[in-house]
Amino acid sequence: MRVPVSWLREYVSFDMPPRELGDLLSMTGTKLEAVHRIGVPAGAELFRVGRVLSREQHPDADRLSLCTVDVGDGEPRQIVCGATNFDAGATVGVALPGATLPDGTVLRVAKLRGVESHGMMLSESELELSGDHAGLMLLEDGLEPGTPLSQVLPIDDQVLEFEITSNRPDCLSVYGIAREASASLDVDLAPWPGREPDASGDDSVDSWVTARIDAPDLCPRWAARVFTDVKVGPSPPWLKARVAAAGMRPISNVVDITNYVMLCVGEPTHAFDLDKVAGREIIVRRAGEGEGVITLDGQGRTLDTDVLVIADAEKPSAIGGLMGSQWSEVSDTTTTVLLECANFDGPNIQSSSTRLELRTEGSTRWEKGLDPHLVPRALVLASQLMVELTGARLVPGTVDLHGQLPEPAVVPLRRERLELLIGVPYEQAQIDRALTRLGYESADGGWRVPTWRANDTFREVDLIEEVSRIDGIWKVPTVMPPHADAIGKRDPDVRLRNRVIEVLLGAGLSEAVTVAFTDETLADRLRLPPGHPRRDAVRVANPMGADQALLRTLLFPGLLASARRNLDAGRERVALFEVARVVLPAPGEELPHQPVRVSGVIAGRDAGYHEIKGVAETLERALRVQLEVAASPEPFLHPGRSARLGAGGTLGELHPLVAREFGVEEQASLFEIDLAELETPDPTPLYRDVATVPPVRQDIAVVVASEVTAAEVLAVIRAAGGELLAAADVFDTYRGEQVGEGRQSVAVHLQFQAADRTLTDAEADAARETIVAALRDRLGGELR
Amino acid sequence: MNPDSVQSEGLQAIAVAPDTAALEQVRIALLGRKAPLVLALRELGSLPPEDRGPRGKVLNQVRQSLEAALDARESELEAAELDDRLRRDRIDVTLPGARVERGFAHLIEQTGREILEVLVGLGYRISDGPEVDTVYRNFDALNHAPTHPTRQATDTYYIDEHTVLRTHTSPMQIRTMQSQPPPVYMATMGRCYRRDTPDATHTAMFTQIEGLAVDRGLSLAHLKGTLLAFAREMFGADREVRLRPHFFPFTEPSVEVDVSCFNCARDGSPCRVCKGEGWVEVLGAGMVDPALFGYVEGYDPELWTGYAWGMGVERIAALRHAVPDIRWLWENDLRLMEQFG
Repeated sequence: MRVPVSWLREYVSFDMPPRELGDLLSMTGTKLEAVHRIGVPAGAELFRVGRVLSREQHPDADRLSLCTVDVGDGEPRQIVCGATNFDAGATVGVALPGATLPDGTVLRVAKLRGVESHGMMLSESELELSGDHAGLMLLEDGLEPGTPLSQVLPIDDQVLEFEITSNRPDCLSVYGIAREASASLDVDLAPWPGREPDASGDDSVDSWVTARIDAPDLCPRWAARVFTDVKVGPSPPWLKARVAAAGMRPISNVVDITNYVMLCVGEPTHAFDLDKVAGREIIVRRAGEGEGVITLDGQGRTLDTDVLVIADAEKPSAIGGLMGSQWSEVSDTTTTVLLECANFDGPNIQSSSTRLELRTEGSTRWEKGLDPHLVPRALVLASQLMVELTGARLVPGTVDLHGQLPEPAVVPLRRERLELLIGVPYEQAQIDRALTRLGYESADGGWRVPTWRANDTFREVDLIEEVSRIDGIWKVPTVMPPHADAIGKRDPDVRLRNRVIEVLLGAGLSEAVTVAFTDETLADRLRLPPGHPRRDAVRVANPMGADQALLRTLLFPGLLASARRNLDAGRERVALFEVARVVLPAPGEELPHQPVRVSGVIAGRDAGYHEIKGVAETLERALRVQLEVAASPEPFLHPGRSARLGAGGTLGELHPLVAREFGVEEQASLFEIDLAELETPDPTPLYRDVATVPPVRQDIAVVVASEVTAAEVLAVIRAAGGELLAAADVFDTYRGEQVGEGRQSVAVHLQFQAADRTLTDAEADAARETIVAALRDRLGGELR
Repeated sequence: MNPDSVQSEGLQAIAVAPDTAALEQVRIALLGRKAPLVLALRELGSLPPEDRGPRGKVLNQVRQSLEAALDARESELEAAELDDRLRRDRIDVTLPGARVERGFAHLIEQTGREILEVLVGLGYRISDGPEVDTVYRNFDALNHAPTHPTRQATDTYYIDEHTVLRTHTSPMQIRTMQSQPPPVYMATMGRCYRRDTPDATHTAMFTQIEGLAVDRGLSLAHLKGTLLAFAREMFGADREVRLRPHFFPFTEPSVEVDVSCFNCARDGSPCRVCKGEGWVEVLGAGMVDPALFGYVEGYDPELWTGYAWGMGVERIAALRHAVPDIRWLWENDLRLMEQFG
């Protein structure tokens, strides 16, 4: 919300610099976003109101006239002027020599075709009040020559821009901000703006228009007045200047008045050319399905039955709360205006605005829910301006259709509850002052909430918030909570996650974060065949783009993309990991499954199967879990260098075609597994003696068929080794001439140990022989 | 064999042996199996008994003196040789060491873990929760009006009409209160999602840390005390915090929390962190709105009060380390990560 300071000062007075007021309001709940200077850069005192005393033709130039102008300093000044839209007696704005115009031009006494000009009469565009440079800006006639122009127009002003939270549509108005300022400063607030003008004529509004509400759920109140003899034209400079300073474009007096009322008191209003309203009949109703309208922005729009329209006897004349139609638009030839002040249902306006992709200054106010009691206040202000600025006649009477309007609630407030929640002691007078300034009234049993706050304030805690923000929050002390029973700790899954991260960082992988969105093409890039279960992903209903339509079911693709970027940046080898959630469809359940996964990727040099398996094994050892590894193909992995890791994890070298797809051709490998599989079954291991009973170590090399895996060899060894076998680890494999075609040698460290005694060589030998026999019988293995 | 000459010549040879290898040859010549002295000692037995004693005594004295001289000379030579080797082993100690590969923690994650560490110290239990959650927990039970703007499909990612990508970590407030009676001191970190067009301070996916405390007699002063402790741990011991009234649907009163600038003199002069304001906005907070207690069992708002806060981890990381654009944090560029890991 942009608030011109000169406008604000009409309702509340303050001495402090505007920025200080803005900072104060920031501390009471209306956050200052920016301060803008508007008008002339400096030297505003050199801009004055002037009266043209005479206007004559310039002796040497057809297009220039020679004027004498009274600017209040005794002697009239001679000013040469190119404009033609004025005569002697006109009241104008004058810049005196030395003045700096908004565009930076510094004015000097100049000779124009031989005649000295001691100043310049101003157009609106020269003051940057509007784009109008067709002629001089003409001011109201009553102004005294010599009056500083800054008292008439905001040429030396500041605009405070505030962030307004969604619960405070009342602050989307200059008067609403003034109320906040009045409470924050503890000074008086001027009465509501607007003075009821006199109506005239023997007719009444009912003879001009008939109206009814057919959709009271969407329009709790619809009111209007009729103005005849309207002269549509440009607004006076002050009105244009205010509307422009508040961020809107001046259009014509009637439209500017509707915008001014909205900016001033927060109630959007709309003007219809009543002569274009068919049958002079207004029906506030839901649109018909597929009903069309051409809105003021020239767009044809198709409506549905959830959209509220202000219709005439034949067709929609406006989309309620959103935008008028071209059919009843006020134009230069309009003479009869129907001025609407209504109240619309916020949720409905919001959904219509979203569906129609039509957001306006009005809809952003309506959707937050406005006070139906604003209607008469806005009508008064609008009527005053219509009569004063367009020369209109106000037709007696007001159309005002509404059912039972909500009565302001009375809400109790306990001082001790206020003190408990805020942690600050209060005097009753502080409470009274804050609430009264904000428009609350003391009533039996509590405080009567002002109607413009009814949506947001209906409980004791809401009053506590009101009091504390005006008086208290800045003095809240800092106290540590008692939390006698609270013990700081991490949940087990959080501890596990941290442990996994520590281990992987220690293993030389860097931690990455990648985005959760992916797209339809990923499954193809991963070579997943149609119907593959990994193709099944949760879809986002409203993605930002088609490339973000799905939620990831795998972490490593994101890591591959990050690896690629780092390889491009000149690295020879990149090792990354991520611990994050994936999202897996779970039909019939409240939410999809979202297991936390860990994935690691190595790419570039030394990035093969053994390297990534080494990382997985480091995790395994550090977390004291056993993860079975068995050859198992994945479409995206090298068919001969991929494995299942644990129950549901995967491990392997990237398939060359996928590697090419991701731009990591040199070499890349990965693992990915649910974190739950790394949860150690034995978080508190018991002491195991390693010193007093030494193990007996023996190595064997067994020659088996080359299809036999190391895991199978170890499984046979472990089964045969019995209780005395403490450990068995493969430390070498060999294929070649010495073992023959189709055969391989697998070398294994064996470690025999008894818990209670040192084994004799004979005992160890016997155990070893059992193992050798089992390898021979089960795998056809021969000792090498 | 003349013992005296063996001794004198032997001592002479020992004294001039140039290195330990030569000394070993001298030892063999003097005391080896075939050395005259050793042979003479071995022959003692064949001497007449009356000669054995005096002869043996002389020979043993010679042997002992040679042995002592050999040992002494050996120590001397070894020391010299060690000195020599150490001299030759000298290297350019300013050359780089052998590279040990290690991983770098991600700035967002390590900042988050550091914050959680502070909160553990303040007595909070750290929990984790899902990122796809119900509209009920993300909005309804957090007291968002049906028209609250963030509910709109322009702002929030929907899976279906009942399910969203959470827009904040606040659904964990509801999950926690649904799962345990008060008192509660809970904090959580996790990813959140909003349909923001990415810019220097926004990404569609971001990281929040949420805190929730519900206990008897908790007030805004306790919230401020907690956040002051947090701010001083993260931003420096002489920080102050400031509460500014704001609006959030699930807290009442609600505040935005500023930390006194840690980068400048706070005298209004230009500062890239606080833009001369002297204060930096770091998080949103407030007293738990009693409406939330209506959505869970066992939380009587007359007995229990609480506070909650939520903060963007990327923002705090960016502030502390002067990262100008948080989108960079999502690139996983190791050249950046190495600066912080």
